[in-house]
Amino acid sequence: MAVSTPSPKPSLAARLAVTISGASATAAAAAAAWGTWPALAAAAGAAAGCGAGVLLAVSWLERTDPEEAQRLQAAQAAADDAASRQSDAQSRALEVTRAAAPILARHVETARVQTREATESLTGSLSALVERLDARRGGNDEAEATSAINESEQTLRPVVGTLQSFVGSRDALVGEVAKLAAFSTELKSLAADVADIASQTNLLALNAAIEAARAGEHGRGFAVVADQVRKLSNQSGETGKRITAKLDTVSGTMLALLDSAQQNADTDRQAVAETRATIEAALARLSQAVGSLTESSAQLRADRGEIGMRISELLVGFQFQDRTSQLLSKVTEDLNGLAGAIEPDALHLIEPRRWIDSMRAGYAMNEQHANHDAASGGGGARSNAGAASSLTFF
Amino acid sequence: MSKTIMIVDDSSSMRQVVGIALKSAGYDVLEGCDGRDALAKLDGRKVHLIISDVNMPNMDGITFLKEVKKHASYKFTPVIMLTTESQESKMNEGRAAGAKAWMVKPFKPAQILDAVSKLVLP
Repeated sequence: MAVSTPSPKPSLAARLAVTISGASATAAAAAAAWGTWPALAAAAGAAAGCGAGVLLAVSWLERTDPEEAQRLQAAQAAADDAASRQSDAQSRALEVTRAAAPILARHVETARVQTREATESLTGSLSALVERLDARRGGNDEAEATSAINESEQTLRPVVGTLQSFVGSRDALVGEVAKLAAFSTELKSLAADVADIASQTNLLALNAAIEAARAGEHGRGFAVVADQVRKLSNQSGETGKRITAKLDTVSGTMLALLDSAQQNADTDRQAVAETRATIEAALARLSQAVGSLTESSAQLRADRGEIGMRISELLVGFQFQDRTSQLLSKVTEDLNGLAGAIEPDALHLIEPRRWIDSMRAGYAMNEQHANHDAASGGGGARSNAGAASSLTFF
Repeated sequence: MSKTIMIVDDSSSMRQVVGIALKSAGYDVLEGCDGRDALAKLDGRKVHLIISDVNMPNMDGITFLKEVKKHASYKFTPVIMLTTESQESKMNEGRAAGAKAWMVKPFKPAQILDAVSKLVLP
């Protein structure tokens, strides 16, 4: 603490003492030469710190030794001058202290308040930072990513399924068409049977016509019938051929259809396989991305934890503010107390030892006691006593 | 359910420093800026431990401690005094008023967490 009460220079006090003792020595020496009474008077006067004894001695000396009387008077004048200078210096010192103490107290208070505000704002933002870091540490990035990937998988996998079932139902349709194609082959053989029966019937009609001619006049009617049968069998044969031709067209178309369906089915199957491969590749990449995201977010989390811890450690250091604040509060209080104690009205009441002790009574911290002892040159044994154990359970 | 610890200190930076240490260990923190304010906040809610400064305006820590010990809902709540005060006489005053521990600032977070875990109500 830089505050100190300007005190009269020791040299001034010393000079004064020397001057007084010089004066009394001179008076004593003179008295020793001329008799006991004036010596006692001078010594008494010097000891009383006033000029009464000297005046007595001087008035006696003026009669016996005027030269010595003059020297004694000069010595007394010097002593009076020194005393008045000392009192003047003391009153100036008091005046300076009275004026300076409240100003210094204000400066100290300003410093205390500013330190407190700055520290509070710093600890405030650092605490907010630690809390935000902690909140982020609680956040679960990879869980979010994993749920996103699961969602994608759940959305994409059914797409492949839908495509597959579409291909499957088309395959079933093609199977039905293939069955129809088989029916048409069966119908063709039936048509061939019809043509065969027609040809046989035609042959029978021819034989019947021959037999009718052989019967002569009696077979004429029968010949007519045989001719009609032959015409009908020819017509049946034609119909059979036409059915066969139509069936050829139908089955040709069906086969072409089957062929093309077959081809499309292959293309579709390939497309479905490709789609599935693409989706799976995408999901795998996504999964990989989540993996590295997890890794980097784990790293980030670790970093955040580390930073948070360091800031917390840093914050602990800010406790100095609380201690400094208490220290400075006490200094302010004592400076103001000092200014009051040395007011002219109160000055005669001040008891320095008691005042200094009352200052000590208000200390809370070991450092205060240590500083007090170190500066007042006393004790020192108290310094840091009890600081080793800062936690005591009751 | 996490436990609630009340911090009573007139220095907001001290409250924050202690608060961060406690929150990092998973405690909920309730703050009071002096004895009077803290007493007003003890409104029946569950508080598992109190950490209080000694030298505070409005109501000092020892008076606050005595008030807590008179309070029906909080008389069994353990109180740790956390202070710059290292005088034996003050410490004895705290002990007599029912404090469970006396801790001189500056504190180390590990030390305060250790004391808290030993004293906190179940």
